[in-house]
Amino acid sequence: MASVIERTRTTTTSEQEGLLLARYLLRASDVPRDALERFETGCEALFGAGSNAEDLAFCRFVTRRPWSLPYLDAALGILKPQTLLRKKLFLMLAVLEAMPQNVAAFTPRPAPIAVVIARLLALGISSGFKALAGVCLYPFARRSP
Amino acid sequence: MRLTDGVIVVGSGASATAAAFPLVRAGIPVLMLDVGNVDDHYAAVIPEKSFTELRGSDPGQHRYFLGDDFEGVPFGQVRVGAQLTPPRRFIQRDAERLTPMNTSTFAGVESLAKGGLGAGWGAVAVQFDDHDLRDFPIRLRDLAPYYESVAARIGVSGAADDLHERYGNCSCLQPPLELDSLGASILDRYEKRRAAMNQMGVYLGRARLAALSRDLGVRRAQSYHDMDFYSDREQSVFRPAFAVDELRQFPHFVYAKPYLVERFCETDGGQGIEVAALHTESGRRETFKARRLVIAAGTLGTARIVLRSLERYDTPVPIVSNPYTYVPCIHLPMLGKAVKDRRHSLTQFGVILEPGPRSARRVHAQAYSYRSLLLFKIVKEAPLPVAEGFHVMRELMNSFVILGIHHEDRPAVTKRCVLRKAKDGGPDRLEVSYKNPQDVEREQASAEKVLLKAFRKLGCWPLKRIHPGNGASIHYGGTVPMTSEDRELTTTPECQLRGTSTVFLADGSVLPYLPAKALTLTLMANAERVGVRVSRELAWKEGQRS
Ligand SMILES: Cc1cc2nc3c(=O)[nH]c(=O)nc-3n(C[C@H](O)[C@H](O)[C@H](O)COP(=O)(O)OP(=O)(O)OC[C@H]3O[C@@H](n4cnc5c(N)ncnc54)[C@H](O)[C@@H]3O)c2cc1C
Repeated sequence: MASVIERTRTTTTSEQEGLLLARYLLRASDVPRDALERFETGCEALFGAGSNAEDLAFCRFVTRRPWSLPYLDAALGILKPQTLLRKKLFLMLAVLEAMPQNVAAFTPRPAPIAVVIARLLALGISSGFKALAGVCLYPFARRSP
Repeated sequence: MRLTDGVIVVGSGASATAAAFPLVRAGIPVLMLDVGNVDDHYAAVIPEKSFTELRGSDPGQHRYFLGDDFEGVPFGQVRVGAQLTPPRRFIQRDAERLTPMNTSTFAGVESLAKGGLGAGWGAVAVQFDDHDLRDFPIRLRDLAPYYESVAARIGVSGAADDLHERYGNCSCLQPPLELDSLGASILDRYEKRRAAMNQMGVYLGRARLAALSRDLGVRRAQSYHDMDFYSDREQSVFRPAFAVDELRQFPHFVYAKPYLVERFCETDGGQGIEVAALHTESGRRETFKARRLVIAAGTLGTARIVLRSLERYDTPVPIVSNPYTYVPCIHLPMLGKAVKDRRHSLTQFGVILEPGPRSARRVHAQAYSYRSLLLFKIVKEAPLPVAEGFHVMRELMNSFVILGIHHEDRPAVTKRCVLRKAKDGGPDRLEVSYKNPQDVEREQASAEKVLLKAFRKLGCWPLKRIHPGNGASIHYGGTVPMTSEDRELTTTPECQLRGTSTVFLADGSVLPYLPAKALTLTLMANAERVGVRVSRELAWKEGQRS
């Protein structure tokens, strides 16, 4: 893929944020450059009007500690679903979904019902554990300087 | 001043165009005044391909799926009109600026588009029967011939099944659109459990849609591209804008835009009418003169024009709007199953809950599958981490059925709109307050329980009930209702505005209440009835003159 951001390339803060969110969502290291540009434009269009201090603190926290993103996302999904970090995740998800190269990732995969139930259970359990860990991080993240 | 020796029709929506046809066909000059916004942005960027082909090949798909300004990426509560994708957003353009509304209790949607709200409607096209019309001052026999001719003109498809009688008979019915895999699975289960379902008062049947299964004139049969929420390329789904273009073939029909009609005034001792309108581009005010005026500016738009013209600022008038609940369900038998790619995006089947011990009123629901509105929108609804939520929703998507439940709505003192005069030289504001009495809400909740219980028997497990808010059905009516009683701010059963001799109303404003069924086919049939009434009156006057 020609326009892929490599791990080593120097990036701007919002590109870094986009890269982090896209890698988390797709569980892939290569992210098309278009996705990051579109994410940046989307952030300007949708969240340009300014955000509150707590919203920004969550974003800062995960940018500095990328490992914390899955946990904080899980906790915020329950505690503060409308926070900026979650909105940015949805925006990135939308951007990635509307790209032809990701169509397979967004298309349902037929499988025997037992497999589907097993997958759903696994996803439920992992969400639960992540949310627990995220709730522990939450007080630190919301005050991230 | 511009003169027409015929009729001015205000608006270009489903109602206005239906009123215009009989007039134009009778040879009467018609001047249609409309704001008439159009989509001049997206239509050209959507290739004529199926959803699956576009998803896999079009690098520009983000433009119409998400919008150039990301207007298709919603945040917050479930919004009104989830099907209003970026290419449909022009429907609401300028409405807030030119026809502002003050309300904290009503999520009203108004349109100043060519074709009005019909430019994005879901095309459910069902008739009211005598049960639905029981407290109207007209009966089914008054509407029946017009249902028939409207259906022949716009093309309606459906089946002779359990809902046939309830949706109304029609000799020109096209065969139903094909079912998708999910719809077929649920209807198949219904067939096997019909007796038990019917005992609960629940009846299911194929969707009755203003969408073609066979070509009709220049319009083509449904292509099953699943792009109905984005594009009108094949014109399978009826849009009132097509009717405007058809009307323009007549030399004595004129479509004039962008005119925002502000008020009317009767002249010549009630023999003629003057209409004042704002040219919204130049800011110029113009006057038009005609023999009759038919107003079909939408339920709220018509109320504005009537109240302003009669100088009835600060006077409350009623409003009704079908209470609406969305219920996403999982149809367990489809879990993990592959589904047909060939499908349309419209409703798959309809449901009627007949009145019974748990619900005194009829309830109407439509069932939709979920795909072309994209996965990210439903991931947002789950309290899961986004990465897991996206995988969960992907697993569930093929088994997702979304029920849209509509309830009947009757006027009440707690549901009112009032026109307030602008103090700052800006446009007048319509204040809407809407609250249903608690006993009515309880009754609706209990009817929903019955319906969802029946759906569990069909293998559909409801996940949650979502109330998108009052007004979210985008079915509005009752602001200047037709009645046999001689009351001000009402119309006669023929839809003539009381206190005038030349003004007729021809949209949802005249419906005294809203039965649970989708209203627009009735709006069109009634508007055609009004058009016929006016054309006969003018023909009779003409006969007397000569
Ligand atoms: C997403 C969506 C889905 C829907 N699905 C269904 C469905 O499946 N079945 C169903 O029955 N109904 C459905 N509806 C409702 C349906 O669209 C409306 O009931 C119907 O279109 C109303 O038509 P109308 O002509 O009466 O009014 P409108 O569509 O509101 O048209 C008003 C017209 O008047 C013009 N106008 C307004 N004010 C002025 C003015 N002052 N001067 C000049 N012109 C003016 C506007 O430009 C417009 O052309 C849906 C609506 C939406 C938005």
